[in-house]
Amino acid sequence: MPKKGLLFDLAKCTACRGCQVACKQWNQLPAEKTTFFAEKGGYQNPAALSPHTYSLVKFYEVKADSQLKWLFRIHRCLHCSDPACVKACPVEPVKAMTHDKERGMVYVNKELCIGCGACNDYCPWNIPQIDDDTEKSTKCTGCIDRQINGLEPACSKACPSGAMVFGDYDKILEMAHQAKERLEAEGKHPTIYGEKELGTGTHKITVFPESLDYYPDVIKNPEVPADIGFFHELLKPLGGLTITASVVGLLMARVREVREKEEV
Amino acid sequence: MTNHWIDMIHSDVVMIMGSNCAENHPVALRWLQRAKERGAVILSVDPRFTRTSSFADHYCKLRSGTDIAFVGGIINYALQNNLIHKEYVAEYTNGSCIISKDFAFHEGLFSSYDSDKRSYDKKSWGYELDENGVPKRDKSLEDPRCVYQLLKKHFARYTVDLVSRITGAPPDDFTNICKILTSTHTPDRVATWLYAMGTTQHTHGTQNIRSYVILQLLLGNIGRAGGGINALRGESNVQGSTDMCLLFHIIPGYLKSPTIDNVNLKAYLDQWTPKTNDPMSANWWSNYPKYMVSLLKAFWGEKATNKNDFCYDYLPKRSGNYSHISLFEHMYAGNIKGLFCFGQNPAVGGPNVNMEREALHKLDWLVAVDLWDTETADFWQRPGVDPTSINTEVFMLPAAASVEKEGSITNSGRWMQWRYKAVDPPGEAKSDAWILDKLVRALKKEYNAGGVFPDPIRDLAWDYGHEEPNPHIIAKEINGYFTEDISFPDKNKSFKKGDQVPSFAYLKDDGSTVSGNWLYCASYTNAGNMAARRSAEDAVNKIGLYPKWSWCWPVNRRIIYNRASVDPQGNPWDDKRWVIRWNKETKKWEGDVPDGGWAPGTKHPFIMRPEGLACVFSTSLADGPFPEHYEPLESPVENLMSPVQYNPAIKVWNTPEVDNIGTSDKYPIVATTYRVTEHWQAGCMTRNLPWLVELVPDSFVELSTDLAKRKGIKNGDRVVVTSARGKAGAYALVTDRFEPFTIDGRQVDEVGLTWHFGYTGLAKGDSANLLTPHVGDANTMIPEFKAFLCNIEKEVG
Amino acid sequence: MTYSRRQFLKRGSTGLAAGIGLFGIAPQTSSTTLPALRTARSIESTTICPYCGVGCGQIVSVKNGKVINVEGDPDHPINEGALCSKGSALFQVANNERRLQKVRYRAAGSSEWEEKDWDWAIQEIAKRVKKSRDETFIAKEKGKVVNRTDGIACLGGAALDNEECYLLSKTARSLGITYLEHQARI
Repeated sequence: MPKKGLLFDLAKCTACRGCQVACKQWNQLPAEKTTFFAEKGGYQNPAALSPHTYSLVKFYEVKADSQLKWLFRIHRCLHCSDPACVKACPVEPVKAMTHDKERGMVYVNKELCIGCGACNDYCPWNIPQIDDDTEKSTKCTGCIDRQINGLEPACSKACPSGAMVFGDYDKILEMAHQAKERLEAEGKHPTIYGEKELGTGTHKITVFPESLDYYPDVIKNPEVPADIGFFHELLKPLGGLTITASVVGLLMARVREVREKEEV
Repeated sequence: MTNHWIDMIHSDVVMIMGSNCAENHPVALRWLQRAKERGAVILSVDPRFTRTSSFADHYCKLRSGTDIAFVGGIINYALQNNLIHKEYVAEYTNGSCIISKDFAFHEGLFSSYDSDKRSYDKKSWGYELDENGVPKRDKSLEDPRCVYQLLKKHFARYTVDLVSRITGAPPDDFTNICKILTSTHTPDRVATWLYAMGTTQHTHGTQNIRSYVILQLLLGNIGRAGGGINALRGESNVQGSTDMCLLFHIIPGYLKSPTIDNVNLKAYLDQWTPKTNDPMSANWWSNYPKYMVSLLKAFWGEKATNKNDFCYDYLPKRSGNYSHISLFEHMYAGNIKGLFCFGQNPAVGGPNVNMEREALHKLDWLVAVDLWDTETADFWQRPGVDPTSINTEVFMLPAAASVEKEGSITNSGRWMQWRYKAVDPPGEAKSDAWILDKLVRALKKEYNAGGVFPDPIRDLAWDYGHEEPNPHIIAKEINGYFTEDISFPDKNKSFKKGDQVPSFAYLKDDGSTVSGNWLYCASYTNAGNMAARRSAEDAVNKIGLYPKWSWCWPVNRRIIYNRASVDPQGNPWDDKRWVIRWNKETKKWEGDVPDGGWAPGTKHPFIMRPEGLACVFSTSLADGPFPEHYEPLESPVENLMSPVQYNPAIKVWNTPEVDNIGTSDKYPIVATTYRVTEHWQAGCMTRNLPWLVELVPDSFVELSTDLAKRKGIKNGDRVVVTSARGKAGAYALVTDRFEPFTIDGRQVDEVGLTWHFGYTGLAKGDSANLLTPHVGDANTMIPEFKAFLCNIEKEVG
Repeated sequence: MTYSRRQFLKRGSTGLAAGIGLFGIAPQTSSTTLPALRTARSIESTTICPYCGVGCGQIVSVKNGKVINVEGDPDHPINEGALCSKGSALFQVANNERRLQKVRYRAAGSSEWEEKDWDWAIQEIAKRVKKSRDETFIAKEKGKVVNRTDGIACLGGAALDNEECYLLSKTARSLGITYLEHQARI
């Protein structure tokens, strides 16, 4: 089976948030308590990803050359080709953070997950969210349950304007480049995000219609924390023991100690 | 809509004015996106930069309430630069018709105005007729009294400079819109016009639409694929409920509700059946008596005979205006005893809701039928009132949701689509049909025991099943059936008593047919329920008509006025996206269901008009044959176009203390109201859903960065917006998407508020309708929700 | 587009593709042999979104008498499976503790609702309609027959089915109601 990908052609996005609610609907995620709007420049809610929000539409109101632009993007797991969260997952021998290499999707096996949070820590975008109630990591699954049953993800299916397209990865990448060409022809400055990031790219390919400068919270050069090897060094001696969230917590505290020292 | 959602893919230019479809009709963007990929240019004209503007290729701002000035300027641009589809205008519109010598326009008023009555008698607006009684025409369009020349003269005053001074649209942006839109005047290009409540909710709302129609006719864009004049309807079945005529002035199928002077059926039919002397005019409404008699037969069945005028006397006769605003004025005056609200929530959605909520106190009883608690049903326990002082009895009846009952709804593109019941309603909730059925049976029982004029209720034909009314029986009655065996020799067809009528061409005025709504005749035939069809097969022209998917009124015609999509010889103006075409071999039309099967050139295309022509000049509207710019009732500026400040034909209510009109010394800021994607109308259907409340939890007001700075307001502050009618609290959303306008050299601010919120439900807040005025359009009485005066201050404490 | 969304969905679909005949889909059981799909073995039927006037198709999945999923109908030619935020939230209309489940009555001057049964409510409403109508009925005005009541008003309809709207029109007009209005006016 060819690997799958999701295209986010943001020039076509109208921020209707059908995807955001379709995600909650399919995954039966409860609503969050919000007040007014979370960020200036639009109607964003909730404020951030959480165990109850896997996908979030963000709004950017920007002025360039006295021209007003209202830009949108969809924030959530990028489904890395070489996922750091899976590498970081301390659960052995079968990782709780699961990489479906056949489709290219990354999801949490909740039966195995110990809720330690290493996945969040080593994700360049800090996407996975630990649910304090269930003590499990949560994030976009790529609707893996739907995919294995021949359905596309709930979000891309819901998208009214064709901004979000699900399909074979190669085709998605091709479409991303076509979108870039189309936008360049319109005089815009598009950026493809996800093709080459982290070296091996991600399965979510975003085509930003304008320069990334207009999206200040997008990480321009994402990197996996370099101490992932050190973290595994710390884990090794525990090989035969049952690894718990609190044990990992102690190790992570040690990792952070070292990080802080290095930063100083 | 003259066209339908999918059809937008064919447009070369999409004008979105008075609509924010990206937010209020998000799936429409699917087709606009595909149009864009074909090379279409999307235009957004709006006081505020919206999610639609973000999607559009070009945006131009205008101050709320100035559409006619804006579009008048485009009309002028088209006429001055001869950017019109001349053959279309000459052949298919009344642009070529000669108007009475007595017609005139002077200083903002048309001839035939009576200033005491604040109305026009319209006598001077007629066509000049030839010796046969047919309107005289000059197809060269050069006669100085032809509509085209009168139009040119009228709109010559709408110069770019004046348009910009009135609307606040930057001249360059405005001229850019003119250029792009008028580029579709050639037969090989086409534009569609999308509008909604941003257009209609003004004291001159009907004339706003008229201005769009006139321009689309000049460009030859109506009747064509990718063209038309498309009202994007905001509720899933507001098209169907309008077709069923839940409005004071009409009865099902857009027949007129009888007036006091229609003393019997003959008088009624004489007044409302239009006549023509033009053999080229199909004058479809000449069939009016057939539709009316079939309706009376549907209402009163066997009791309705030609001996008793088919029970015509049973229908109420009106002698005034009974529209929403009048209704609440009448209620406020204490003249209404009881009110039914079927899924409507006027305590949030009505204009000047302080007044409308107060009016509810005067009722003896209120019956609310809804899925949820509503502000209307809860008016007696709203904040700040003492329930013990309110003597209205309230019945709150729990209703079934769309997935809990079976039946049809009609979308904005006139598609009648069938829905199935998936689950039972919760608890003891029941469908509206069940409730009405039970109520009518109980009323029949009451009136069988006597009462005032019990006949219409006692005799009402009512038998839709034993326990739950069967929607199929009702749908069949709406379509209609034969009451006797009958043959139609001219059509070579015969039917048995009880057969479904195959289409309204078979309806009769002798009592042999029943049809609850002639417009839906052909929707449920002997072949079955057409609304339930699901074939993906397209028509021969392959333009996405999907004629076997559901059913569309009238007679499954997907694009109306389609005889205007071809030249007088029957050849499509544009072969690339033809709607219908005349096959010379078969002597038949191909493609969509044509507006009548007559051969090309033998009938005028606009068959619902007695003159057969589309009206560039209207002889029937309350406020003038041409649109003319007037300011909203409340405006911060004087009318720069004429000394007439606001629409001279509107009714201004003066109920003391509640119908106050604000002035710009106290309320200097223009306010408008709107919806967001995440909420719907008066809010019950969304403010109770946690997922949608999460997205938009509170009411808010959008204001410009400039105004916010002057008022010391920061994004997220609580503010109070006031008008002459009341005040509304809201969160301030400070944005560059609203900009101050320069109106005649002076800065004018505008703010916008959501009206979805109220005091009941999961998410609560103030409705913008606490501020809106109780005044309506001269023709329709739709309230002026979209432009009024306010002030805004940071909330103290 | 490089592939058809409809084709993709039909390949492994949950039974819907098979059921499409000339006339639509009344509730019918879906089937799937693959694990882990929460809509497996549900009863599916089609509906049209109750929010705006676009008229998008939706598929409703039901298990044990409860709506468990609502998503876009991929065969619907207008929305082809897509839905906006409101359409995607329809599940919460069908499953919502705030839905009214009992008839309630608020007496004149009362500060609270009382629960009632349908028979009582229908009887009492009919009595009030009759009283108000008969008290305010105008048989003639200026010597002409008008047969109407200006004492009862009726609002609403845009949220009702066509068949219900028709019944409402028929009922209201037979009672002589002229104050018959709904959302289309405002």
